[in-house]
Amino acid sequence: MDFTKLLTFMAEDATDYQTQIIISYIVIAFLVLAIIFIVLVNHNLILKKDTKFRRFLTHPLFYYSLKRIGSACVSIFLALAITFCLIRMQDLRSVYCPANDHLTAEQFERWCDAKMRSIGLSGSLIEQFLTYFYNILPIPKEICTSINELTAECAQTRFFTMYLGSSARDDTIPFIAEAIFTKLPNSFRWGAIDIAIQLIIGYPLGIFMAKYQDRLVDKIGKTYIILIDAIPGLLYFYLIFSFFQQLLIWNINIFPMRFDPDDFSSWLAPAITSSFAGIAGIAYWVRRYMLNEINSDYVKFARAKGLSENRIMFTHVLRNAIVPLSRSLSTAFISCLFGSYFIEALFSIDGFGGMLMNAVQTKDFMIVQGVVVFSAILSVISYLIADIAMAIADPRISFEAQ
Amino acid sequence: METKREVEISVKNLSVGFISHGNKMHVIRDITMDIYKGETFAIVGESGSGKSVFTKTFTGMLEENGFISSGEILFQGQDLAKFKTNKEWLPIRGKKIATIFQDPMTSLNPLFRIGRQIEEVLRLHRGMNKKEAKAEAIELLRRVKIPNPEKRVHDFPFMYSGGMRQRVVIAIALACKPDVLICDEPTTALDVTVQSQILSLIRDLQKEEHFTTIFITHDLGVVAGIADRVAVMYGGQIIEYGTVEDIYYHPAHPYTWALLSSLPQLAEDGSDLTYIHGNPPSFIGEIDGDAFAPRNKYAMKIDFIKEAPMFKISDSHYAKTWLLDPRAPKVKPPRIIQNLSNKIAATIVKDPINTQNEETKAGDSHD
Repeated sequence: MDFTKLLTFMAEDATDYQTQIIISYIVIAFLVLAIIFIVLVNHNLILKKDTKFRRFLTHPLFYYSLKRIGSACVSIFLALAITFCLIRMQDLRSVYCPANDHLTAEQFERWCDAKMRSIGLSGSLIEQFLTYFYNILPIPKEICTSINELTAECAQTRFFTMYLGSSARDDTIPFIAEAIFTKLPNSFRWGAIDIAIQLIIGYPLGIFMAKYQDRLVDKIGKTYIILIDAIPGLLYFYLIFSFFQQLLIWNINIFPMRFDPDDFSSWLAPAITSSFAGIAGIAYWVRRYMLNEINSDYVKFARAKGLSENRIMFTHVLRNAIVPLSRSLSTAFISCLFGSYFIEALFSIDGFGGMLMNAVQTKDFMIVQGVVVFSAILSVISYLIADIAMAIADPRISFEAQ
Repeated sequence: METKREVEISVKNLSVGFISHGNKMHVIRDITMDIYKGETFAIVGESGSGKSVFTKTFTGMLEENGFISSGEILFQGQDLAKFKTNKEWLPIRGKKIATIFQDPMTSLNPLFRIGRQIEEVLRLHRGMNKKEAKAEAIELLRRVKIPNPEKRVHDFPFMYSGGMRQRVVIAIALACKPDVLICDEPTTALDVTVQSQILSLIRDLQKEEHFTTIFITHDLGVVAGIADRVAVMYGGQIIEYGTVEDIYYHPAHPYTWALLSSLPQLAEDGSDLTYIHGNPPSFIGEIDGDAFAPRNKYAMKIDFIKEAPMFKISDSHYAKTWLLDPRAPKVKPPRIIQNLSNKIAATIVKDPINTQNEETKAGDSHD
């Protein structure tokens, strides 16, 4: 599946583009009206009769999510503004207009001006910000994406949704959004397995450490957690990496080292390498929250009720310990999209993790900006999900603020 | 009082120890006591006297570092003191001996619906299916006087007030029709009006179900209202026991005198409240003689050397003090207690429950 086509919807011809504009404005108008409608219903101004539809619209969880999405948009806007300002502190002209011997000084100036204008880097800061903001808004637009060096004429590309900008240096990355969406699945492939391993081993480890506190399991677990915390990640990454290499030398080919997006078994080696730290973190917190709960009064009462220890542990205690963990769980799932620079460098994975690092090294600031904005959007979404997950896990959390 | 009554729990020479930081402590020291079927047996004493630990041995709920060092607890033909594993306890705990704790705010699992927490016990101990258990849960809530139980059964604990939560806790405790109900300071965390409602609820339920109640409290006002017999604990021992009348009108042990003297109701306007000087004994190491002797202004030389035996005062009334020895000088209890009999005689006997409203917490002598 072509992620790029799906998400940027570049229109091939003019009539398609016209239709897209109409459709998108209808969608936007519908969304705005729906939000106004929901707000009015929730303030008891319209639709006062108690129907199933009304109950759905006024459900605390639904309205809370809506408000949360609203405030998430503000957060994204702020993140965007800050990155924008930081990037503008650099000398972007020298980055975007590398010296060109074919052109006369006048042609170079003209070409460079046009290019800077086309990517929204000319004019006052406010002008630039509005251009950038307009570009990433998910509405149809035509954007000048390449400049003829000699005539300084613009070749327009039509975008249906976001335009995050284009790379200054790397001609293989014409559009940043496209680059992100080709690299993201690679990071997700091993990241998802990483998270799965963390959960499958970390949770039971934490539970057993809490259940047999100060016994052998607990002692081994604690030692493991302390070791993982104390040893720098890079060191054991390399240790595990060389272990996998050694396996290959011994002709045990269960963990292919070269990452291949189509070969599941090749996703395992990076996932296992990276999961060690995550297991320690999850086990640590599960143990902590479980112990918190074990000493609480309702556990004593459950014991007095005659429930068996296992039953108390796996229903009553675990259910309560999951509440604070439900937050971290959903953020963990989103964070596995981001990948890790070290792991991806080590296993030569063309993933999202290395993208920012490479961009900084090559001073490709538009990519930095694009990646930061994209990550901000993902993080805000993940926190939104985390909050809602927590609210679902704990009935005591009220959605009605104040 | 009838003397030949059926014994429910018979405790013989029970001693309980704890190991803490390498120190061995004797928290319960050689208690012998019979608790009769259907009675309300109150255990009073200041904090740290061992009253909670004593009853925890009936359900095997001692903390991990606690152990029964000697003695036996006979209950329905079994010696509970010999139980080792959790498995042995499961048919007793919750099913035959139920416990309710001090703090109703935290006794219920905050994330499970009230209904589920009651149904859990019904399904486990009475083998009901989901539907039967739910119907029974609603019925139990109705019996503990929760209004609108069909609806409230679906609520979470945080939607209930403290008094209502304690009612739910009582409903859970009584779900399996236990023979013994241990109430570990069930009203301490509640305000005074709710206290009296809970106490009368326990009394009413006891009348219907005929279970034995063991009532732990440091509130002598509550004791006067609810108990048939009272045991006073100090330093891990029962130092005096008898009927409510025995303890309130004819207290014999200097500690009981001191405890009663510190009832705030007895203080006269403008005068200081009476309190017991000093601190409860430390359990580390052996206690020589009478544990209360260092704080006892009536203490004799022998009190520091040799522990007093249980002296029989009447068929129902026993006390552990050398003052009852024929050789001891005759000492009169403090004046303030002599007034006590006259002061609360009428209220205790005639209308015990309703006096709870007026009485504030009494007799937490130690602070």
